[in-house]
Amino acid sequence: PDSMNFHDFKAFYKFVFQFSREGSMKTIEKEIVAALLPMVIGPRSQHTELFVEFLLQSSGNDRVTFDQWNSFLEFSTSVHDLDEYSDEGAWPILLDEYVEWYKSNGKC
Amino acid sequence: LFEKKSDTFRRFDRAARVIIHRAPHRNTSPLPSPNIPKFWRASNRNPAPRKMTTEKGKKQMIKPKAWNPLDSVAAQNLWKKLSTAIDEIHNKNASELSYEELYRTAYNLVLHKHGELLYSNVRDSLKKHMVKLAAMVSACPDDRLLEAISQEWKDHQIALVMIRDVLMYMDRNYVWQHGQMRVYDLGLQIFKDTVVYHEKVRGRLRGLLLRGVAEEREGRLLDQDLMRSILSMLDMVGVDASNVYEEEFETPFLAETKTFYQNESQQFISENTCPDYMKKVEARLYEESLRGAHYLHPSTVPKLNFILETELIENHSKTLIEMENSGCEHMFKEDKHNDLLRMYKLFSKVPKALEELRDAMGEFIKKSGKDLVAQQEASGNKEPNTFVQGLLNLREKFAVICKKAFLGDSKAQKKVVGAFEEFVNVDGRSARYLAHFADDLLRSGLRGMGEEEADSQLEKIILIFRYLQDKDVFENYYKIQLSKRLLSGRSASDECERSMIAKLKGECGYQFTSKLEGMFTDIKMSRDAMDQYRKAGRSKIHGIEMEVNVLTAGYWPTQTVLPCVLPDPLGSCCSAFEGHYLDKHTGRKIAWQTHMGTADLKADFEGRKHELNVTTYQMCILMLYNGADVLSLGQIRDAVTIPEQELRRHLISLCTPKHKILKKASKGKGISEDDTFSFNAEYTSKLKRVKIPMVSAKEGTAAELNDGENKFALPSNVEEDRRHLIEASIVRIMKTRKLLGHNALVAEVSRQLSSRFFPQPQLIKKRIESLIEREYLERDEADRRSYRYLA
Repeated sequence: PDSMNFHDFKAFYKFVFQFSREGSMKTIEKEIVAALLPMVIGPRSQHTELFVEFLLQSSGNDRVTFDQWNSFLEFSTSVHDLDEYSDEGAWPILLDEYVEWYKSNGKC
Repeated sequence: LFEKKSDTFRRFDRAARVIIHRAPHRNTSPLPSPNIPKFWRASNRNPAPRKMTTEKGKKQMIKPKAWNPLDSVAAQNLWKKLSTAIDEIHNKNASELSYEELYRTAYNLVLHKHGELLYSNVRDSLKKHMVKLAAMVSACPDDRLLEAISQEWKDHQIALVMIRDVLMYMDRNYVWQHGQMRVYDLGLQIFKDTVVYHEKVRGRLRGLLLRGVAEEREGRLLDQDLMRSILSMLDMVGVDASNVYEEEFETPFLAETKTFYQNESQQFISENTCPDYMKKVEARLYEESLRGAHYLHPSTVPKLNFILETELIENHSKTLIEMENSGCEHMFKEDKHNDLLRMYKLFSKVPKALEELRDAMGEFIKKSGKDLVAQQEASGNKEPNTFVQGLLNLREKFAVICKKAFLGDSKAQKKVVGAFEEFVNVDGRSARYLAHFADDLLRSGLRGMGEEEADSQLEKIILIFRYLQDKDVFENYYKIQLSKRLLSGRSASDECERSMIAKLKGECGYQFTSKLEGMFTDIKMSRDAMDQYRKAGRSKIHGIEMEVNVLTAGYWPTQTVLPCVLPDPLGSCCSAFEGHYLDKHTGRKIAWQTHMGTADLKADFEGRKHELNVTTYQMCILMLYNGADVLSLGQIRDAVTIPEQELRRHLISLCTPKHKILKKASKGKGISEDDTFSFNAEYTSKLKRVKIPMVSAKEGTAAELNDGENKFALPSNVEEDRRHLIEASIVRIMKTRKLLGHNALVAEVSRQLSSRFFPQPQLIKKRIESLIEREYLERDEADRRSYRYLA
């Protein structure tokens, strides 16, 4: 995965989610996602570790949707300055919460 | 008066002067030829030589006489004549002078190329006189100085006019040709330089003028004509582009004015109430306006006003508004319209201050409104009328204030509306209290009222309703209360109910009221159906007369049906009706709403028989006592199968002190697990027919207030409805647009739902995500901020 170009990696990333789904469930348990992310996206995203930490400690979200999975990749590649991030934008609420958690826990 | 006699030349000459004045300026010489005859005719203006014929028929040419140059000695002599004349003019002794002769002298000098001589000599002569004048004036003591200057100025102006008239030819020819200053202006300049700027005059003059103003401000009388004369002099002597008026007077005057009012206002405001301060300001403004009219130069007035407005109003506007016990809060509370009007008028001059005033009003309204809501909550909403009436009073109060004190200012009116909307929409409490008010009215308040009065009462509801942002919260309560009213037949007037619906329809459109209208239809249809059922003789089974209301589920407030076992005879009544109904309307399903019904029970007590009006559950419980005298909680529970909370509530209601149909074994308020209830044969009541009321479960409040936080949370069905409405709106929009950006979608959804409630952007986002998951939408590949509709 480390050596792929971005286009191929994106396809691979999406595939991982679909592959990891259980049967007809459309979402994946967050613990599994927490384990998958470091393996799949790992160092490509500066947010991987923190996001995993956030996921595991958050009380509301038990399952992760495909949309949220994809958005994480998008977020990691396009958002570089968290001060510019707006929760009025089109990001999934999960990411809004992540940014809020990030800022309020002094990770900046 | 010396003016009349010697400021004019001899009469004859005056006529001549007039003629000269009328001649065109500059290029044309006013006189026909060099050698002026003693008399001339006005018509003789054409200097060209003409041919004349004599009696002998010979032509004779008229030739101009030979040119005699003037030498300098002759010139000097001519000048002496003029010099003397000028002296006499200055001495107010001009009556013996011949204007025509003097004019001619000057004319000749200029013509013979002695213009320069003439001009410089005139200048020197003027200077000489001014110096003399200045010496005299500067020797005057302070209390006479202004008068002296004024007088000399007047004289000087007159003299200058006369001198100018004499030297007019020079003005129009030599002066113009050589770019020199005209005689009159020259005279002004010399006056300025010599007299006004005299070292013993200049400073004193300035000081006296300013002192005069200062004293007048303190209440002393001032010779305003004198001031005006001096100030206009200063204005007029500024000919050579130097603004004497500004330098000598205006600038220091404005500076002193600023300091004066800065100090006065500071001191006054610290020692006086707001209305008193404003009166003082009004007085001062008036005084200054008079000053401007009487003696200030018009150009000073706007500058003066600016200083006044800044120092007196702008700098203190906040202090005035916020002043304790006499500022805006007090004025609003006590309806001090006159004071508010005064403030409005004053603040109108300074837009910033006016805006502050409007803001203060907005804040007052918001605070009053919030207090009203809090009060109502504290009182447990016992009297909904207090709240609504309070709001209406507040509304009326400020309508009057806007009209009387703010002269119908439209921005102020907007501010009022905005303030109302803000506190009314802090949370759903206002909506709830308003709904209760409506319920009260429609239940009993409107009973016996005439049409007009009833209508005006209903209008009150609408007035407050308009401020609500989350109208669906109101509708939710209204629907619940309407259903209760309709089902228990407790409506004061059917007409009023319909009228209210019509008004709501007018405000919000058909969508809002369609379900409510459906409820009415249901009731009517049920009545008709019951009539038929009765006629068919089917309604009385086992001696039980039954009345059924069939409700269309979609229209009425949804409530989950709690299980309940009906006693036997009743069960068959219900089945009979069910059979009858489903025969008529195949394909429908009906569910018995056991939590909503009522029953009339005939009960035999020791004393006498009574008729008890009870709810269905109460009836179920009581019917058990046909078979036993004492029953335990567990037995009752098993027999009736009503959920625990309701069971307990109903049991309590049957053993209250007032209506002790059953006797509870345990002491105290609660029901213990092993409690027993026995039939109370000793029950008595004054009335034959007794209604056993339900013990209230604090309807609505427990579900909606979070303990400790005291925040109003939305009723659950309102939340659910909103979710559906938002999703429906999103799908509707996306179906049409196919592809749409996030922000645009959020905006459009908000717009579509605005008449019902305001959807939070986060909530919309959540529903979008949910729709993505359910594959109604997807994110666009190219631009992840946009969504695409999936067919």
